[in-house]
Amino acid sequence: MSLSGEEILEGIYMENTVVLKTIYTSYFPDIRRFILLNNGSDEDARDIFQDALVILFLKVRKNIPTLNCTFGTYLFAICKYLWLREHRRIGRHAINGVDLDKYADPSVNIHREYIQMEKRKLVMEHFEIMAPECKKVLRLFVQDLPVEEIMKEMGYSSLQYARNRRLICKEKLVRQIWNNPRYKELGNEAFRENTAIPRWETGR
Amino acid sequence: MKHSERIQRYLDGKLAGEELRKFREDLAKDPELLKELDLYRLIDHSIKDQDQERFREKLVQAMEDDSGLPLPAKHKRTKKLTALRYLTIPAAILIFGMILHTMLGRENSGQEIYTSYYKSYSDSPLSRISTLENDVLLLNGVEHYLNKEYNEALIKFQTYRISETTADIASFYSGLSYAEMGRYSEAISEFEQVIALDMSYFHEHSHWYAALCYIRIEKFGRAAEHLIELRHESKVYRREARILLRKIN
Repeated sequence: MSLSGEEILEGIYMENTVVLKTIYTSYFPDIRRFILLNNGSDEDARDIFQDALVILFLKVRKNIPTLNCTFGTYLFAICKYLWLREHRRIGRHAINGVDLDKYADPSVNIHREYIQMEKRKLVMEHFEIMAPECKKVLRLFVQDLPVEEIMKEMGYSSLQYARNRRLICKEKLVRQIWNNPRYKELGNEAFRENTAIPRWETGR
Repeated sequence: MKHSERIQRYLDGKLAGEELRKFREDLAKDPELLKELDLYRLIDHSIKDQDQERFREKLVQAMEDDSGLPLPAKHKRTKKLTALRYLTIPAAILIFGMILHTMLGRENSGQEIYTSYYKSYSDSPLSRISTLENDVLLLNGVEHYLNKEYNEALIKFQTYRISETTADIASFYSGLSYAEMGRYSEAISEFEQVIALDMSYFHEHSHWYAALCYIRIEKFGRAAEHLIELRHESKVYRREARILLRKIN
């Protein structure tokens, strides 16, 4: 199946699994090869590929961008950016003797989406390991259900108790995330805006 | 009113009048309060809007499906239901067996995971620390550990005069010795000391063994904190940390 860049982005926006499958079969092998050649594993390649597509998903939900390159080139550039960041994060400054700066692509403008994705991953990781009662009460409250309904659903004795339980669970989650060094790392990064905004070429 | 309570009331739209004015004033003056508010918002948004998680699941499905075409979710459920209709008795037996296994095994789940994943650490630090040969007590302690003489190892580590440059070695091997002897809380305490040193060679190993010890004593929440750290920071243990996090969740 041959898709234009716009069709691919549209497919990502619509979460179309046929388009996602096409992206995987068309572009993953080259990305995998790059990661393996640069100190990575199969699992790293899959992780980077997934993260790159989540970032694109976040980007297209704001607006469908236009670039001056093919979709494949842009996706590859995003994956390189993510792999480069991963190396920097664990304290490496070169890959195979080549300085990391040489891999940098100034046309990739995804810093904001990267921070957004990483923070979300961190929050959900900590959320998933909470006690089941806490997870349930937090989920119910974010759905804006009446507190009376939450009280009944949770089997609590009073409205105030329900609110207190929510607050205690939320405080605990906040404290764990706040104290996570990775969260501090992400929070300290300023949003950097690259000046070069790539433009699409249509068709393949 | 507690700090967190004020933030939550603000997000719930329950602050008004003077309270609201004061809170906004504090937000303008206090960047830490603003960051904390952002985190509360991020948490609510993340739990409510599962968009990224849903997209990621679809992506994983597209990557794992090897039929060439993705199956709609409804189709998959129908296939499962059809299979069960024709396999009711064996399925019932299987389900009963699983329940029985879970009931019998529940109390030992931490022990099972620990037994599956714990491997004795057999690496000697000699090759890494050139000054070690001068620290006879420490050297003897490590030798006792490698010979599985854990009591003797602990005695050596405890009488060793700790210096800043090698405190992590004594603590790490003490932790391992305690773990081998089934004294998991003491092991955890030693590993936490290494972790606190931050730049130690044994940093990620300590996170790993601390996580295993927490699993063994069924403190899965504490174990998960260490595994999350490894998942982000460790090349050596990232894969196992990811697997274990799924097991204990």
